[in-house]
Amino acid sequence: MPIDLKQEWKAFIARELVVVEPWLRELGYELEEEQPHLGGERYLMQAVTTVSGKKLILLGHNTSTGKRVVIKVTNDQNGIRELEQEHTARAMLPAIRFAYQIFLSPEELVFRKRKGHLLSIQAYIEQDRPFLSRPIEEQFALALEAFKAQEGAHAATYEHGRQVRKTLGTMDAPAYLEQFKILARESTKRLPEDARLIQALAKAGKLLEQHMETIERYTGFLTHTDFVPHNIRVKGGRIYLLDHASLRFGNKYEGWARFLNFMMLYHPALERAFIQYVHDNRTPEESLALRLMRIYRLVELIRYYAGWLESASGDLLALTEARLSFWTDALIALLNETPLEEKRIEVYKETRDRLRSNEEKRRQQGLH
Amino acid sequence: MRMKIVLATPLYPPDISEPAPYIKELARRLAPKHEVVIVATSYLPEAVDGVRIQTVNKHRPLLIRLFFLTLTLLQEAKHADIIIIENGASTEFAGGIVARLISKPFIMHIGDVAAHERTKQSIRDRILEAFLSRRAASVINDPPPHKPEILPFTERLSDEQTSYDTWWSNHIARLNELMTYANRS
Repeated sequence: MPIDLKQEWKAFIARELVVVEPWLRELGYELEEEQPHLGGERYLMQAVTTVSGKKLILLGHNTSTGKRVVIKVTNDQNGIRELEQEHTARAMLPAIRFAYQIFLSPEELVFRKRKGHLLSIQAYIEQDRPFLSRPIEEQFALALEAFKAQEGAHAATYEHGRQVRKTLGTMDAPAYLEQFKILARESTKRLPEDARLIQALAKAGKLLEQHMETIERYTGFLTHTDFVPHNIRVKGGRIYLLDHASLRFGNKYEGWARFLNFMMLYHPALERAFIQYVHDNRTPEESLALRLMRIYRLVELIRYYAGWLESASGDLLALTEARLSFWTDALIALLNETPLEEKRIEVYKETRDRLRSNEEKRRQQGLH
Repeated sequence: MRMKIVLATPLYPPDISEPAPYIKELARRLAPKHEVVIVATSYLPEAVDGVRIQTVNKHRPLLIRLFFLTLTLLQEAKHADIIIIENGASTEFAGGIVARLISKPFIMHIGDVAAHERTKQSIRDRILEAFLSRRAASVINDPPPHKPEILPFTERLSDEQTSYDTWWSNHIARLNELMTYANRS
């Protein structure tokens, strides 16, 4: 079955390229030789995706100017909905009256439909170096600026709420709790023997229910729910946000949560810096809101990897199990308000690097 | 002299734009010596020790919001010694009505500079601002400074904090003076 999924993905790519390449040529674009977003573990991401649709993300260039572009194409209903959502969000943001800062985003060059396919071409933002290779002070300053820009758009009143609900979507405390229960249930179903995880999920659920008011207090803020280095480009000292489909109005710390959970593994010093920042400059309730959102997002991540178990085999299966164990430890650390041990992170990284395929290692290069 | 002070504001934390943080900080600094009530359009407002917060749900439609804001402000203002009203169309409207219904001293504070600038571009907003300011014992155009942040990897400048604290000391002293004078008039 795992082999079939990979073959299925390759067959899907081949079929799509037959349609896409001539279309691109008509529009004056050409694909690049190397397509990093098609290989590695990508086939599994597409298979078990919970919200985003099946789509190809390709790199190309304008045949006249040579300028690089990012091409997204899909004929999957969920994929189409996602790209339309991204297109709408991009167009809507400058028009939000209460958005006091406009986000930088790559220019959308083409947005077309044809015979069931939707094509979006965006300018590729060249950056001199990836986000994580910048000095920590710069990483902190850039990310904080982006978080503050998001917070500046607060759907504060009835009129605001009506305007944004139609386009970007909203999450409130009951919606977060409802979604958490679904994620916890689905994770438990796939890992019925994992007593440690089940106990942690129960504790997490109680904590979220206990602090619904805190979660609700900080909703209504624009948040990029996938604010991680591979969705960011840095140019001219400013952050460009990619993936506008991930924008919605929810708890202001949801985006921070995704970022800090990512940095827990990739850059713990940056994670600690942000926790300290919130502690020093914001209310204790906001520190709690951040922790609650981190717990929520970790459960989402655990559910995501739990979905890989039925499709992965060999080294990838072992890696998936290692990921689940690691992120469960991260969840338990957050629940107990203790830092995740450095040793634990190192052990996981060694395991991951040993088990990751060469193709996936290539895909990961330069991603962050 | 201990006074009952009502602070009326269109924005309050978790809102982050001014005058939200200003009002919270003002309430915190006044609370040890006075009885402070905040009247705000808000939803699940952040608490301040020793301060009562009366909110009008911001998620209600505009006209309903304005009606209840006016009513709530009237109810609190009846028992107040002084009312401080932040600029903003909703509070200027509510404050203007309340000022005409009850004989209590009030001070208008221009804390939201952006809103004040927008007022100059709109006849309606200029009328609303005048509706309130003409009844005010004083109009203070004294926008608050941003609170200096404690940033990792950055040396904290003690000057910034001193400057911030000094602004607040002077501001509270000025307000106390104005409140006492307005109350006696």
